[in-house]
Parts: sequence; C-alpha cells; structure tokens
Amino acid sequence: MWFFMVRLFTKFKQIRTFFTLPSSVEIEKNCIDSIREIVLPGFSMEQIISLNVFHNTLGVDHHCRNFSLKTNKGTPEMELTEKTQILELDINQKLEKSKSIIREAISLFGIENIAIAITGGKDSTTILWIFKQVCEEMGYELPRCIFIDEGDVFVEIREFIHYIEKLWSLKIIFLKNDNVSLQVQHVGDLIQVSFLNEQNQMALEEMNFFEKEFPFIPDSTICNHLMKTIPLRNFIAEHGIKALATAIRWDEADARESEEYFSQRANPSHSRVHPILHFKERDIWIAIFKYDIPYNSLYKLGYRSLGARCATIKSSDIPAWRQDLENTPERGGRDQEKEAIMGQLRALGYM
Amino acid sequence: MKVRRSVDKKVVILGLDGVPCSLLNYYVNQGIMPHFGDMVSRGALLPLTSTLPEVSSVAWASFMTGQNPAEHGIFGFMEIDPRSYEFRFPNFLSLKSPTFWEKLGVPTVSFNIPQTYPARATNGAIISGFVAPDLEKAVYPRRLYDYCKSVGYRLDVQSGLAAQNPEPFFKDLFEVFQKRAEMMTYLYTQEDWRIFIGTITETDRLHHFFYDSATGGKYYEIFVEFYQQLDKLLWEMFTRAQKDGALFLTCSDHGFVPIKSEVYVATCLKEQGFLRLAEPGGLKNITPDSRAFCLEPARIYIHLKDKFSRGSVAGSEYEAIRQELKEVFEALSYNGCKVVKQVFFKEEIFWGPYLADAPDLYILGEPGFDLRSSLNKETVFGLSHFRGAHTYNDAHLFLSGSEGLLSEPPESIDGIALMITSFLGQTY
Repeated sequence: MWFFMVRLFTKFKQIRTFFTLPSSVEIEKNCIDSIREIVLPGFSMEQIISLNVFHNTLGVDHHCRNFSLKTNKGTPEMELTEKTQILELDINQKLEKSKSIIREAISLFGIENIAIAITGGKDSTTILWIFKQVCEEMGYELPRCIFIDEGDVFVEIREFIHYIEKLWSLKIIFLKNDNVSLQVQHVGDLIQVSFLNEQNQMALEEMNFFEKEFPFIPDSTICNHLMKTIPLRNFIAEHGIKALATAIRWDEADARESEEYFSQRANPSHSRVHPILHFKERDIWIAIFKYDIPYNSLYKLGYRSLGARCATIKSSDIPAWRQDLENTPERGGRDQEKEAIMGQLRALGYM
Repeated sequence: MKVRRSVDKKVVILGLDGVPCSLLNYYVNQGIMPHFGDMVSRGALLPLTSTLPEVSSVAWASFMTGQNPAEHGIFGFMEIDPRSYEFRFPNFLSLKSPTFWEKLGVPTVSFNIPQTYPARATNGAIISGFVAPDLEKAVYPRRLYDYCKSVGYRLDVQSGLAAQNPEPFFKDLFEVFQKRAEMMTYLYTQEDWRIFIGTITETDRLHHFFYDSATGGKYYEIFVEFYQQLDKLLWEMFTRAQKDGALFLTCSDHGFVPIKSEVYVATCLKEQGFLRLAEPGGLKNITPDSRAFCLEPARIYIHLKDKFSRGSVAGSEYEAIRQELKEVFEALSYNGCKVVKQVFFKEEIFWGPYLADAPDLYILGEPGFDLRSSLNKETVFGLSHFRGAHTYNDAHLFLSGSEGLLSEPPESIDGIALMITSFLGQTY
C-alpha cells in the first residue's frame, strides 16, 4: 500500500488540485491514465480522485450518446433549455438541487406523510442518503422506507437492505403480494387465476387479462402489476401516504424523459417525488464515491441495473462504474436505437 | 435500341411525401400555389398509384429501385423475427436491390428520402429520411455531417407534439420545413450531381394529424401558409433546374384523405378467433393456437408451423384459412359503408425472389378507413388524434415538360426509375 502512496504522491506534483471538483482543473490525460493504473488495481480509486475531474478534463462528452431530449414526450412545465442546464450542473449543484426538491416535499406534505421506495439499487440508496442529509440538517427522523419483494430478489440485495437498515436505523416496511407468490414454488410455475383473492383477480381484469392461468415470471407485465402495483396501492391507502419518493432518472429510459420532480398519481391519489431526475448514470457513481454512499456488491460484479434475479442480465464482468456508461445501455439487453425507431413509428400511429 | 450516353443531362426530383394529386389541383385552382400552377400549365400533373402496402417505406423503396416489394424486400416499416417474434426494422441496408442511381453509377444527391437510413458510402451525398434515429449515421460524407450539426439540421418533425397541442406542432413543422428547404438549397448548389432527389416529409406529418382541414376548416390557414411556402420552394428549385437544363419533376408516394374511422385489424382477428395473446405486450406473447397475426398497416400472416416457431397451422390448412380471412374482412361494414376495398392474396400483388417473406394477405381499405395493426385496441373501429389516412390512389407525378421523355409517363411510383433511366440515355 505504501508503495502505491509514494507513486501517487510523485504524480501529485503534476496535479494542481487534487481533491476539489471544479471543471476548470487542468490535468494531463496521460497523468490521469497513470493515476488510474496506480489507483485501480486493488486500490480504492474512489477515495482518491473525483470522477468528475476525470470526466470533465478528459473531455468526455457529458451528453449521454443515446440520450436525447425529445420534447415531444411533453414536459409542459419544464422548458427544454432549463432541463439541459440542470443536466449540465456539477455534482455539488446537482446534490443541492435534489436537496431542495426534498425540502420542498417535506414542506408540502409533512415528513410523516412521505415514504421512500428503496430497492437496494444504486439510485434509491442515493436518494435515501440525500434524504438523510436533509433530515439531519432539519432535525427530522428519516421517513419510512418501503421495499417491494417482486418475487425473485437477489440474495445480495436482501443482505444489502438489511445492512443499510442497521447502518442508518431505517424503518423499512417490506411489501409482498403473498397471495400470488405463495401459489408457486419456482419461477415459471403456473398460477391459476381462480385461486387468487378477489383483489388480485380484479387487478388482472383491470389490465384486460382474461386467461385462466399465467406463469409466475417476476418483472413480466402481469407479475409487475400484481407483485408491485397492488401492494404499493394498499400501502399508500392504509398508511395515508401523501407522497412517495422514487429514484427514477431522466437518462434511464425514453419513457422517463418526460417525468417531473413532482407528479400526481391516482388510485389511490398521491404525489410522486423524484429528487434525482437530473442525475445521469455517471453522476450516481460520482456521488457514491465522493460521499461514500454504500452500494451493492452486485455492481462490482458487472451488473449495471438490478431487477428481479431471473430478469437481470449481467452486461459485463467489470464493475459497473468502469463500463462505458455514456455509450452502452444501462438497462442491458435493450437496443437503444430500436427504442428510438419504435418511438418515432408510434408517434405516427404505426405500432 | 441505341445506347447513347448524354453527359449533359441532369434530373431534379422533388419528393413530396403524401401530397395528393387532387390537393395540388385544388390549391392551384384556389390560387394558393400560383407558381406551381404556372409550372403545371406548361407541363403535366398526373395521378400516380402507390405500392401495396401504401406506406412510405415500401413506396419510396419501389421508387428508388423501380421494383415490386418482393424484389426489393421491403414490405413495411417492421417485420417480426419468426423465432422470437421480436420486432425487426428493415433499413436501407435491408434493401435487396440497388437504387436506380446506383445502377446508373452517376453522382447523386439523395436527400431525406424515407427508407435510406443508415447512409452508406456512395457516389454523391446522402442525408437519410424517416426512420433515422441518429444524425451521425444518417449522413454521408462525413464533412456533410459536420455541416448538418453546425446549422442545426432536423431529421424530422416532432410528431408527438401534435397529440398534445397543435400550436407547438405547427411551430415545429414550419421550423423543420425551413431547415429542410435551406439544406436542399445547400446540397443543390454545393454538391456535385447529375441526379438530385430531395424529399419533403413535413407534408405527410401535417396531413396525418390535420388533413380534415386541408381544404377548409379549423386549421385551413396553416395548410394555406404551408403550401404557399412549398410553392415558393418548388418555384426556386424549378428555376434552378431550368438554368441547369435539368428535367424537373415532383412526385408523392401516396395520397391522403380525411379519416372516417380507424380500423383495428388485430382486434378483428382476435374477435374472429384467429389471434390470441397470452398476455398483453406484443406479438411475442402470441399463443400457439393462433392461426394468423398482422403487421402494420394491414399485412396478415398465417401462423404456419414451418415458418414460425410457435406456429401450428399446417400447409394443408393454408388456403382454407386465407379464404376464411378474406370473407371476414370483405364483410366488414361501418355505418352501412363497405370498409374494405379489396383483399389481396400475396401472389396477386407480389412477384419476385422474396415472395416467401411477403404477407399472405393484404387488405386495402376504402378511402377514409385507416387500417392499423395495433394490438391493444378493444374495438374494431375507433378514432384517435389522427385526421388523415393514406390512399393507394391519388398520389401525384408532375413533369415539367415532355422533352427527352422516351415513353408514356408511369402510372405507378415504381415506374419512375425506368423513366429517369431512359431519359438519361441508358438502358439496362
């Protein structure tokens, strides 16, 4: 370890500033590469270098190649230029923006009426951490968290959830649609609709599903509706939740581009709060390393995005934060260009 | 016949996507397009038929190759993989034949023609048309891409705006058209070409959402304004072409009429027991007992055992099912009106090496009935925010003069390639 430190401090002479973030810091590209060589093997790079410095000085294009701001998806309140500006802020400014959204939510709804949806993933752990900062500043306890068990949760995610539960003394409510999941032993087993309770049967009718049976496949359309939407609805209604905070981001998927910081949902009526819409995938990793936010070990194994175990593909074997975040799709296995084509065809009524 | 190379002859074609012959006649008569009216009086404005299916990707592919869909391989905007039932989107590289200008080997500017994405290396310049998700892959040569970026060139109108609020849509429409016209002029004057093809697609977008105002009504002023601007552009391009001694023509790939009703082919298939999905969410949930499915706009495929991985229809049942489907669709009626003009079996309208990939049936609606293959509709008939439907007839061909033309003008869009080729003095 000391050997690495010596080499590192030799390089230090070539670096004008080290621990600060401003994008004006000039660092030679080859210097960055040598630091990466030194720092990466077995050394925690994240403890030494701010990724934002890498990012700006290597001239890496901030614009996620596959991300385009299509205003045809409609953000009536937010102008295109405002959104572009927010996306270009540095990490400190983005964090401040998120905090201000959270403060606004607390003021609008009251801390006791807010719940935070956590998944054990990098995005929801980050918003939880930001909530923690705001609550500490304001002298509040953290709001309740909810974790939805969709039926096939990674062991590592369960372990991680229990870890942060202890670390941050969280109040977590675990939601699961037992009536559905107890019907089966394995992913893929068939469920008879007639064996389900009335609420679940009506939920299927609501989505125009009239078959007698369906396979239990977590993260499929039907299972998402039953395993996620129904327990969530029940929770919101039973606990009088006025606002649910979730960790969605604009650059995750085309469908998220038109989301607002605050939006209304129905059935039951409640608000959604989205404090990190303006965080790009790389910003999450910058925040995680800069602020020492815990993250799930699955990301180190190469997973970029975590869903149900049976539905999550590992796109690579190198840690998520070292992958080509800007030019490869986060939600692995989906072709971004194909999505764009489908969107354009859909707008003209084809599809 | 003698092959006489004529190095002086040039051709300028302006594609006007979805512009009907009848609409142009109307605007000329109303004095909305005085320049074009002048051009028509000295040339000829003729009706043209589209392809079957009468959609832009197929029609422009037939324009470019001079061929039937079973020869060039493009039957629609999308296909499905017969194994996984996932959507595939044929693009320029899927075209099985060269374009007429590639066959001629003459420098050509091909600007905004649908079905030309991604751009490929060519003798000339390409900017791709619909569907083009990525500008960088839509332009050849590279220096032209840098220019496109520098002027903020737009590949397409933001069609999604039309559903929410017409005003931003119209604003966007005129802005994109302006950029289109400027780029067309730039390419015309800066690039080296013997064939210049520039296509306007804003017309198709406007017509899809607002065609019920084309000859009067709520948004008629927008149509008037737009077609006046188009008139000016046509005049400018025509004047330039005249100076260059080039043959000048315009054409469209299909016509338009106001929508009477949308017709959801998939719902009809479901109701008649031909199609079943195990769960909502696309054709990948099709059940093995489904006998037929459909793809946009009204292509019907029999779910054959030896063609599709989940298919269970035997070859021996093929003809009977086709006949049954034909009767079902011919019998469709809406408020006492006949909905389907004709149901075609594949061999009646397709010929070529790719016949096996063709839909087994194709349904042509009566004008005003917009056939769609959406899987998530509950009724057979319905309306949405769309106000215009494509027509097979009533596309147009405008010729600025008949000098140098060796034969009768074509009656369908796939005949234009031969006309141009003959004009340029080559036969193949």
